[in-house]
Amino acid sequence: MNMKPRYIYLAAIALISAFLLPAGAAAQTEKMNVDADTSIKKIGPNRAHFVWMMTDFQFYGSSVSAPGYQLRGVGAFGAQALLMYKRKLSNVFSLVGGVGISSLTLYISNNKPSQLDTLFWNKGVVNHDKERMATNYATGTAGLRINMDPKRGDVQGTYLEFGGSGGLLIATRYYTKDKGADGRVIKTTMRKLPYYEPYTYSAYARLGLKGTVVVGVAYRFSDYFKSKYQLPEPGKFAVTLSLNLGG
Amino acid sequence: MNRILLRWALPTFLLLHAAIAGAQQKDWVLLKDKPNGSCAMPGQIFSPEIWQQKQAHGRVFEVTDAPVEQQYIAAIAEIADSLGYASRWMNAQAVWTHSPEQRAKLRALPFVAGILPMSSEPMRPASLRAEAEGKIDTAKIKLTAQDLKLLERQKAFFGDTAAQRHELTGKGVRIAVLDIGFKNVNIHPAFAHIRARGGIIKTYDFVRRREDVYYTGFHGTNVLSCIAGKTPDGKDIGLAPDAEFLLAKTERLLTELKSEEDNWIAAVEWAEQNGAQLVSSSLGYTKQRYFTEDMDGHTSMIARAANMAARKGMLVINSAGNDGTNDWRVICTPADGDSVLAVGGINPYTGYHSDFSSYGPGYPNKLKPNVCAVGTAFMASPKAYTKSDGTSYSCPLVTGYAACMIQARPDLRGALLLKEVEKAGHIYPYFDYAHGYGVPQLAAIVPNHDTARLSALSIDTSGTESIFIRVDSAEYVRAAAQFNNRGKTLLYVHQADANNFLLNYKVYEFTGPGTLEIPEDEIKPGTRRLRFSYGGIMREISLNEAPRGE
Repeated sequence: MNMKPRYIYLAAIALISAFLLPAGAAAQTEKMNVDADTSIKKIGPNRAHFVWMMTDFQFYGSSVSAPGYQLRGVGAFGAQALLMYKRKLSNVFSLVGGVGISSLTLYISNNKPSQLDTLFWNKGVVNHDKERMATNYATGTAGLRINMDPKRGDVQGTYLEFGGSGGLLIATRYYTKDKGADGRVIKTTMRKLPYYEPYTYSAYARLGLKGTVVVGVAYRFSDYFKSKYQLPEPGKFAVTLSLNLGG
Repeated sequence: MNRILLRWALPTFLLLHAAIAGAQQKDWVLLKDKPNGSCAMPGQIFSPEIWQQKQAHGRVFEVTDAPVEQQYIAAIAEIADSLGYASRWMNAQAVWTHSPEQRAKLRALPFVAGILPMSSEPMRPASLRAEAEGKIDTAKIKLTAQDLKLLERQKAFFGDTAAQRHELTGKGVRIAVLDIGFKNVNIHPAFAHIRARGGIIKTYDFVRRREDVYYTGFHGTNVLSCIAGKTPDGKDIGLAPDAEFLLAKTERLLTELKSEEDNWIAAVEWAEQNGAQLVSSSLGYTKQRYFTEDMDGHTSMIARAANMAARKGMLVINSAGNDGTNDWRVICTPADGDSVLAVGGINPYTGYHSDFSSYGPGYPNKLKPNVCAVGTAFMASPKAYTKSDGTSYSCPLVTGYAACMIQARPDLRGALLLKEVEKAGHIYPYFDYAHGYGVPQLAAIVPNHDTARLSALSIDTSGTESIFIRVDSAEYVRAAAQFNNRGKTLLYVHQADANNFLLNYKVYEFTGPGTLEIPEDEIKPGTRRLRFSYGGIMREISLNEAPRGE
């Protein structure tokens, strides 16, 4: 019946805890911890002059027929690295231009027997496991940017850009890859091929998406191959993906 | 291909070209000289009374005070589409042009030093919440217990007690408030006491070039009340209810475009012309036009004008900005000006930095913000009263404080006043890039105030791997809590490099006596000094000298 001593114990423990806890682990709490930021941010406003690097990837559609050739398809992939310059006209409009190097690679899916090699090798029909054709261009691009996000507008922001690109052919290659009878992989490369048009020109529209990623479409007006060779053209339309790499 | 070109590409290009050609641009035309500047007289700019007051404080009439050369303006007007404001201080004329040819012609004028593009975006008010406007129904105004608690808190951080206030109410101090608009200030009961004594000296709308500033924009109403407003039962909202005011509307509402920084500069010059000692500006530019490295105090024209204001004996007090949680993060301009008092925001309930309040430093290594005050405040709204967040409100609260300081020490002006306000900060001489020197204390300006602060912290540096800071007694914690005017106490710790640039800063809350351990691995590379502030005293450890058991 006599519970009083227990209550005294409990009260004493509670009192001691009340004094000890604030003096111990719970005495101080970190409320704020800031590392001073000294980095200079090159994003934000819409500068009058701005230079940056851009990489651009193009995915061309497939062309499945070409006179004289039976192909399952030709897929093309383009890539370019550009040094870009922006000249602001107003908060809304800017001119953009750039120079760089681009490449366009055709991945060929032959029907067997392929007639494509006849042209390249001139020794009859040869079936290759893998074939691709690659070209490099010195590229120039120019366009008009309509900025829809006046708070930004250099390499980031929301904007629409229309323009054109042109390229001068500087290198050509034709690659094959086969597996020999003894199991060895045989790779061949041919250079300085005569089949390509020396120039390429196209138009593009790009949409900046509040970040460094830009999506768009491109239409290539020029032909890839000289028409007299009647080679299978890659698609004219491309979906493009560009990355702006700071400034 | 030709068809595509003719049908789509060419018309599109022509359309866009026409749009570009039609786009107008606003620029500053910077002038080389003022041929008649040395002949100008104070009477051309100032009233005799105001000039007399200024002379009493050692003000000298300078070439920068002289009007912009009228012949130059006339020649510019012949080329430009239209003219904005001319700045005497900057010796510049704002112009609208529509073509590069016009700008080339302007640049070719023999007296033109250069052309500087102007932002075509409005300055942003440093508040986080918009409120619908409406009529005042005084019968419906009822303040809740929470409102009153917040009201008390926002002043308590300044040490606002009857004894410390010591009849400091900003009396006789003239403050210019630059804002978006002052809707209903002419009828609102919060400002009845100011209107009754004719305390609103002048008003001007620099956007529409007329005197009425009361027709639109509530932000200025909020801000003004944080300096001098009263509740319906007569409680002060800010610290300077007896100050005099010049109200300038310099910005359009956010829904409108094409607001201009020449309005702001023209308003500051107008304020100086009309005898203002303080300019309260809760506006700022950030990423609309500038990069963070431009926040260096001399890139933007408005920062230059704000610095010039200090030279002329005024102090511009500007909110630090509300970008603490977004990509921008740092202070706005003109808060970056060397002679501008940038005010950060603290949370009235925790006592430390409000997350939205912009951080320093100014670029490259400038202590900003200079001081802080609560960033969540009770204030008058066009309809009644309200609570809102933003450094927009920290700024006028500190403006009220600065007015009290001028009242107590009329000799203080411009940059000298700025230094004194900094020294009055509750954590001075400690500082960091979130709080500056802390909340300025009224006790620092009351005659014969007790300057004694708490006794030293106990710091133990003898350990091999850690530094220990001891808060030894509950009595000490209670004393520190009293100093902070709140129930809990804060320990501030920063790490500085050899150039006194802060590498890291922290705030701890002490709920009772205890020991804080700072392990060696928490000390940033390059740290030369560790400083601690608690209860108003600061301790410093030089890491080169501290015995670390090595």
